[in-house]
Amino acid sequence: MNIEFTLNGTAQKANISSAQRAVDVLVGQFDIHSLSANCLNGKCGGCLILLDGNPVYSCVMPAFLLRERRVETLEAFHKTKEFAIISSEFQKEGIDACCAGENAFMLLAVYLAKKSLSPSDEDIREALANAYCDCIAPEHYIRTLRSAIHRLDTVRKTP
Amino acid sequence: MNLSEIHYPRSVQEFLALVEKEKQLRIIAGATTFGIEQRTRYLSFEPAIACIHYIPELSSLHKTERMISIGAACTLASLEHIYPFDRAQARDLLRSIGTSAVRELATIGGHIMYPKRFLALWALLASLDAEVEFRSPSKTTIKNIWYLSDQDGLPNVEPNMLLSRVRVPLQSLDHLVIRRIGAGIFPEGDGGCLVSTASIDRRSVANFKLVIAGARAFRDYEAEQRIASSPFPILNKTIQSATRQYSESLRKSGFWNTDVLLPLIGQALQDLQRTRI
Repeated sequence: MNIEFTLNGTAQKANISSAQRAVDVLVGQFDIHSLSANCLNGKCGGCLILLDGNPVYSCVMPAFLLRERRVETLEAFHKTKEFAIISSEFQKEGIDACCAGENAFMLLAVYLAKKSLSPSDEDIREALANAYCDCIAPEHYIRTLRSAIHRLDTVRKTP
Repeated sequence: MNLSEIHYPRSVQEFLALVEKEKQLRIIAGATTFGIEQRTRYLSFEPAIACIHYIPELSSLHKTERMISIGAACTLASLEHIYPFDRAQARDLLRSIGTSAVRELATIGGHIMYPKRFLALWALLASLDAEVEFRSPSKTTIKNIWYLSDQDGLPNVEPNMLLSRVRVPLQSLDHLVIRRIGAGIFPEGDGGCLVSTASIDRRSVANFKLVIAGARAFRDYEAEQRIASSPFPILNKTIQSATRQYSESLRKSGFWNTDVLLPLIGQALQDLQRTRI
């Protein structure tokens, strides 16, 4: 059947069946290469998307639930100020997730930065729990994200 | 690969008409539970699917003077700041369910209607005397959530009845103890949850409930009455008498591990005894 939804700010039509997971439709029909379906049970975060503004696992979500929803993936943020600053801060500090964790850690960082300029440690840890990657030490991630958000705040205030 | 027909009812009436038409219907709002159950690449369902996420009535939250009314399609994430989850212990229990990305998909209806076991919030809702409202083509039924367990304490959910709302009566919670037991409580784990709640009214205990739920649900009305009718602060002999009653009923159930649960019940009763009002 055909459904309509918004993907990264653009209205889209997809042809889906009841057997498809949302991640498979997003990768297969819309070339969303930031996503990967590794664990298929919502643990690794490789398939993390923002659904109506909040992080969800697209691998445990049937495609038919995408209908009339607003989906954002990392691709939506590639050209944003948030992405550029967070990404350069992560590079500088050596925050380097493996391929499975890369999508989730970056998407969560952008999500947190857009949500608040002073996220609490609890908020960051809560969001971080949605990703799994042994390559990143949580404390290092939190420090670096805070520093990136501080830079972002400075850039926003600069006329 | 089985393909199902997908329906998106826009109202409860439309949904109920669908229930009458489709004999094998799977109701889906949030999808976490089956997402975890189905590990294969392609999902498989009954021949027809009713996606109730798009029924506004089922996604709304109402607060009155006497209760919080939660639509069955409300996500667990949307409950974080309302009663009883505005209490730290209850919020911790809510947050123990998956991660925030899971709770953004999981719904309270799916949580309560899980057919294989009682999930994390069940014992808390039962201890608060939550009511569940079901709609069927012919009637609307309101039951105490406890009636979703059968005589043996096993889950007893009725297929093709639409759980429309969950109503949690507002009450002062002077005592709230939540203990997680065993391994994972959601949804494949073998663990459970012990919840003890009470309000204290004019120097006597009112509304005392102690519920244990996991693979089965347990509650002892007689022991609860012994506590509920007693003056506050509760005398040691009342606590001992209630503990003996719990010990007997746990043994009689032939299911629960008395050696594990009795000390936890004892701790909950001591906590109640020490409650400051």
